[in-house]
Amino acid sequence: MAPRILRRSRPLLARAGQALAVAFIVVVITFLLVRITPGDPARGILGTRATTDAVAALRAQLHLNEPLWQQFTDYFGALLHGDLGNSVITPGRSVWSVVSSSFPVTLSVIVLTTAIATLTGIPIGLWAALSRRRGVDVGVRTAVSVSLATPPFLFGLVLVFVFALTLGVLPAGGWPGSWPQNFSYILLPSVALAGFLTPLVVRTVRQAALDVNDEEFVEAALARGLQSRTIVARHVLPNSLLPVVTVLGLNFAGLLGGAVVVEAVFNLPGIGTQLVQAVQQRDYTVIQGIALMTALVVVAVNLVVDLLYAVIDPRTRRRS
Amino acid sequence: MYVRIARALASGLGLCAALAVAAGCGGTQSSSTVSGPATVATVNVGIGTKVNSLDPNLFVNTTETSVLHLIGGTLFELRASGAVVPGLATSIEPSSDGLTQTAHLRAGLKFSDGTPLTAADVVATLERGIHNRANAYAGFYAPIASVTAPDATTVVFKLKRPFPSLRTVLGEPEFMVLPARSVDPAAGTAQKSVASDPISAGPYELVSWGGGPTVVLRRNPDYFGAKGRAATVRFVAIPDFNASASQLRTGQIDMSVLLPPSLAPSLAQTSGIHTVSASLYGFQNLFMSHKGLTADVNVRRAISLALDRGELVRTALYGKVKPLAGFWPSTTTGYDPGISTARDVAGAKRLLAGTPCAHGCSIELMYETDDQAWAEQAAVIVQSNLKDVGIDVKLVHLDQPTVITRLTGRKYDLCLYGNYDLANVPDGLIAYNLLPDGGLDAAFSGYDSPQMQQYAKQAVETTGAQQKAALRDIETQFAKDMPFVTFSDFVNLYATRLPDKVISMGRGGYVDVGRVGE
Repeated sequence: MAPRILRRSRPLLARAGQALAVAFIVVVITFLLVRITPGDPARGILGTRATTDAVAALRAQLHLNEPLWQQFTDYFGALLHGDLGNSVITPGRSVWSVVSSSFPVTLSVIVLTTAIATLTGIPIGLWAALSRRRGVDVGVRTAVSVSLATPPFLFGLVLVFVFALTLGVLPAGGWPGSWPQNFSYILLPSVALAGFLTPLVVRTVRQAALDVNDEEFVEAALARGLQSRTIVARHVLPNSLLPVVTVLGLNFAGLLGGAVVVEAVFNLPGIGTQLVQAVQQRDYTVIQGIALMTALVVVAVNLVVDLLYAVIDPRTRRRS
Repeated sequence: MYVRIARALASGLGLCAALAVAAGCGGTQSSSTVSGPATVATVNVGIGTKVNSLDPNLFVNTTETSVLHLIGGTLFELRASGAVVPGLATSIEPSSDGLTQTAHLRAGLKFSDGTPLTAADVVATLERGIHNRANAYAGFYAPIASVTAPDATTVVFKLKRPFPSLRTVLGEPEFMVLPARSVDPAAGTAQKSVASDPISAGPYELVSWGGGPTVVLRRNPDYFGAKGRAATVRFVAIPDFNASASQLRTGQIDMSVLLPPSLAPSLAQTSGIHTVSASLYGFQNLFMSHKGLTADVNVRRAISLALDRGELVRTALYGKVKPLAGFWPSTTTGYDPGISTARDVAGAKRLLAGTPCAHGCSIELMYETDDQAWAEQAAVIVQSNLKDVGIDVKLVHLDQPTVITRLTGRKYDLCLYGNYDLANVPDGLIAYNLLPDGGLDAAFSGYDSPQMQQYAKQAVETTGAQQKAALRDIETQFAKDMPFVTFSDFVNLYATRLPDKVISMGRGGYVDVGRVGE
C-alpha cells in the first residue's frame, strides 16, 4: 500500500521540489539584481536634500552597509522562518502585508479575465471552426488579429472613455476595497486584459476544433446519425479543451505582466502597482517579496494545470 | 520627483508672509474659476505619490508634506496663500543680538488624542530633530543650538547664528510637535508609531493609512483654531496622470494634483473643473556637474544664452509659467524682473570661442519623466537650442533613482530638474543651490564660492534693506559664476471641482484646506 501511495505522490513531490528550486533561484537572482541596479533606498527615503552624513546614518540603520553575503544570509535565514521582512521605504510595514493586500486585487482581475476569455473565447472559436459560412471564419480571424495587436492599456483607455467618461455607467478606476463594490471596479480592467487573452483562446479552440472535426470518431458519429449539436457537445468540445487549459496556464504569467500596465490605467492597488512603486523607490525587500510570491503562484498555477490535464484527459491519467 | 529635491528646499527667512500674498511676489493663474459650497463633507484628492513615512524627520514627497501640513501642530502655520499665521505659539521674539528667540504657546493646548500639549513636548520634539543623525531636514535644524522650556508655555531657542526665518520655518511640517512620550530627544529617535500613525495638534487628525495608497484625515476636535472647510480629507495615490484626470472628470475625486501641463487644455474645457497653474517658490533648471566641459564657466554661460526659454515655456510647460534666467524666481522677494530671458545665439558663440566647444563639442543631458512629464519635450528643445551653437547633446532618459544616484555622485553633464521651497524665504534656495554644505552639494555641482557664501550669510542673517542688498549681490554673483541654468519658475498644475477657498495648492507646493472664517 505504502509504495503505491509513494508512487502516486511522486509527481507531486517532484513538483514541490521544482517549486523550491525555482523559489531559491528567484530569491538569489532578485536579491542580486536589485542591489546591482543604480539607486539607493536611503537616498530614496531622505530625498536629495539630505546631507551625506544623514544618508550614511540611515544606511547604517537599514543594515545596507553590511557585506552582501551577510545581508543575503540574514534575509534567507528569515525567509526560512516564513518572514519576508519589512519594507525598507515604509518603516514598520511588513512585506507580507504589502503582498497579501495587493495579490488579491490582481488575482481577482486575472480570475475575471480568465472567466471572460473562456466564456467568450470557446464559443467564438467553435463558431469560427464549425461555421459553414467562410465569412464567419475570416471575420473571427481578423478580429483576433486586431485584438492581439491592440495593447491592453490602449484598450483600457478606450473602455474608460466609453464606459466611464461618456456613458458614466462604470468607474474610471480606483479600488473601494470591499465586495461586491469591487466588482464594478475590476470589470473594465478585466475586459481590457481579456482583449489579450480571448483571441488566444479563440485561436486555440478554432484550431483544435478543426483538428478534431477531421478525426475518424467524428465521422463515425456523423455516420451513426448523431445531430451536429450533440457531436460538438460530446466530442468536439471536450477534445478542444485540453489546449485551452494549456494556453490559460501558459499565459497566467503573461497576465500578471499585463496587469502591471492595466493596473496603472485603472489605478488598482494590485501587485503590479506595488512592484512598480517598489522598483521606483528601490524598496529591496518588497521587490524580493513580490518576485518570490509571484514565482510561487506561477509554479502553483502550472501545477494546477497539470492536475487539470489529468481530470480532462484520461490518457494523461493513465500515463501517470 | 521634485517631491524629493524640491521639497528639498524648505527654509526660512521670515520677511515675507505679507510679501508672499502681495502682488509683487508673482502669483497663481487660474484658467477658470468655480463657485461651490463653503464647506464639504469629504474631499477626495488624487495625488501621484503614496505616503511612505509620516515621520516629520523623514517625509519627502508632496503627499507626505500635505498630510503632515494638515495634521501637524506647528508653532506657526503656513497658508496656501503664503501667509504665516500664529499656530500653537501666539508670538516669537528675537533677542537684541538675534541669537535667542522666545516663543509663547497658547494656554490649554491639546494633542488630537486629548492629552495636553506643553512646551516640554515642543522641546522634546525639536531636540529629537537636532540629535537625529538621519534627519532629512538637518539643514533646517542646523542653526538651532538648543531648545528649552522655562515654563509650560514658553519655548526658548538658542541659536548658533541669527535666524530671522525661524518664525516661518517653524510653520513647516518638519517642525510639527509630537508628544514627548513618543520621542527620545537625546538619541534622536522616535517610536515606530510616529512614522505610521503620528499624533499631533493640527487642524486634522489621521484616521487611517496602514501603509496603503489611501490616507484618511478628519477634523481634529481639539484643534485650537478655525475648523477646516472639509470634515474629511482623503488622499488617494494615483500614479498615472491620465487615470487621475479621468477620475476627476467622473467625479470620483474632487482634486487632482501634480498634473503635467499637457493635460491643462483638455481639463480646462471640462465643465465644473477649474485648473490652476501655481508658480511655486522655486525654479525649473538645468543642473551642471562642473566636470568635463561644464567646468568652464563660459560654456555654462553660453548654454544659458543659447536656451530659448520662450519656446521651453510655450512647448514643454504649455505657457503656464514665467520664463526665468536669474537665480530668484518671480514668486520670491529677490526676483529681478530686469534680467533678460531672451535668447542670444551670437553671444553664446562668442562665449564659446576659446573654450573646448569653440569648434563644436558633445555633451550628455540626463532627465527623468517619472515625475517630470514635461522633461521629454524640454530635453528635445534644449538639444535643438544647443545644436545651434555647435554643442551636440546626447539625450539620456533614466528612471528617478538612477538620476538621483548620478546627480549625487556628480556622474552627469547636464540634468533637467527643478526645486522649490515651502515658503518665501531665501534660506532654502540658498543652502541647497549655492552652498557646498547645504545638502545638495551646491546643486550637484560642487560649487564653492567664498564670495557667494559671504552674500548668502548676509541674506539669511539679516532683514530689510541689508537682506535685499544681499539678495541682489547673490543674483549678480550667480550670473557671473552660473553654477547652473534656470529657465522658468517652478510650476505645479492642479485641477479641482471645488472652490479654492475649500481646497487649494499654494506656492509652497502642498495641499491646503481652507479654514472657516478665513
